[in-house]
Amino acid sequence: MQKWPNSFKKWFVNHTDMPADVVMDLPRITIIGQLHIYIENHKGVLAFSNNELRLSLKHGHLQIKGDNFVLKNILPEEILLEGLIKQVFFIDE
Amino acid sequence: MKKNWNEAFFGHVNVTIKGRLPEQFINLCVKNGITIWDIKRIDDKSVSCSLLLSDIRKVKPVLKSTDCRIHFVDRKGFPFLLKRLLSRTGIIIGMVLFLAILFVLSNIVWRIDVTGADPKLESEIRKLLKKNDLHVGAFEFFLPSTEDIESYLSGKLTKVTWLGVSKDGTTYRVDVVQKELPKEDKQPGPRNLIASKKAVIYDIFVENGQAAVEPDQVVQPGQLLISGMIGNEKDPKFVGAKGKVIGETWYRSTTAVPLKSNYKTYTGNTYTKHQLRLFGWDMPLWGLEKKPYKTFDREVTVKPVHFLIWDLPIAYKRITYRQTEQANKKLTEEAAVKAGKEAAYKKLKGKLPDKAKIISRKVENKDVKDGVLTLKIFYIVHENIAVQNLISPEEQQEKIEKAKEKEKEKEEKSQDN
Repeated sequence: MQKWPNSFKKWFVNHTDMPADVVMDLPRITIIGQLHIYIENHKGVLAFSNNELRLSLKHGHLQIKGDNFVLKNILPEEILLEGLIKQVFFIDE
Repeated sequence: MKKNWNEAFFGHVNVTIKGRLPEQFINLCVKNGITIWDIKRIDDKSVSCSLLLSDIRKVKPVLKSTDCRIHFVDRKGFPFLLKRLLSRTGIIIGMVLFLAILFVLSNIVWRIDVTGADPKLESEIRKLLKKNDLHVGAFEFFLPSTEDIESYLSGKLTKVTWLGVSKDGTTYRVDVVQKELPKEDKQPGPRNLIASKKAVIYDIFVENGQAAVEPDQVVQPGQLLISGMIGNEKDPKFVGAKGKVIGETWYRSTTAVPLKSNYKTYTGNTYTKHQLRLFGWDMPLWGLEKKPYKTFDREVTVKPVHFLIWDLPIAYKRITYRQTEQANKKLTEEAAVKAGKEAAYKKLKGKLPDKAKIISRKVENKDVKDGVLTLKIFYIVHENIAVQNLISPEEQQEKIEKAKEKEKEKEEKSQDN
């Protein structure tokens, strides 16, 4: 039952010019070099340390690896991480 | 470094959060709308972060529910800066001194402008003001009110028609309208001198022109006194008549003097109250009696206190009570006559030109009715009755010619006869 609204959304995104993150409630991730990573539409911090940040998303997790991580700003829907970013993983559950 | 004005102005703190799950704390903070930034992991059980000073209270329940502990590391921003500054006595003393000096300077006279006066009068005015303690650098508190200065100045200065004293902040302005003395008439052109009122000629001095009247002659108003036409009729010359015609004139005056009069006198006793006015409230400082005398005149002086351009809601108020007494005065008839004569004399003197002389006076009628003495006095006065009257030579010439023609006609007629 959960599947057909999702497939409808996909079809909607494909056939209109609406941005996918708005329609499908997906995270929008902006990376500036290795310096900053800016994640919108996250669902909370799961783990945070100097070289790892785990964020919960609507579906699954987001794992970011690197060095000297500092959470520059955190708001209910967005996060700005500073440091040396090396890897970004999407982890399905 | 990211800097937001709120942080700088309202202050923020650097803290370390210790607990088993600091991430939990961060999530809850975000959910509760607490601004949190610059989060850094220190070790397994602690993170450091920054919080707004105004959010500190909101953090406490969050700490409790996530079982974390807070430790303040650093305090930054204006409130903390202020606190540090306030702990230095030197700065406090300096600030207080600054305000005090500003306050003192706001209540000082910085300038006195005198407009409309020539240099001589201006220096005279400044001298008089100085006598009244009003000079540059004087304290406004101890100065008399502008109305008082105004009446003082206009009483002392004779050359002035109008005088206004006003205050603009720390500047006093004296506006003067100077009397313009009438210049010697140099009215060119021929003119006659004619009588201004009915009189008997007492004396006549002719400087220029031809006398048309003689002493002891009765003249009517408008009658020619000194003619501006000289020479014979065939070849008249016209000049500006000049001279003095002293005429004996008569005046009657009626004065009423009440024999009984009530009037108020000051006993010389005064009682002064000093009050401080705060926001419209009068706070007595000295002098607590409500009504010191039964009968009195009250005089209120209010001195507002200024700070820069503002009037502070603080003012100094002085109320002076002068005790008065009702006095009854009964005049004898003789005294009343004397007073009436004096009053009438003064009144007449005011109406007459300066050089007029009152030669004699006579009480014509004395009448007491309902406690009021009515005096009728008759005066004989010597005064100059001559006034100028312009003449145009052409008209005069025409008149003369007409007169000549008439005479000729008459002669012809008589010859015919």
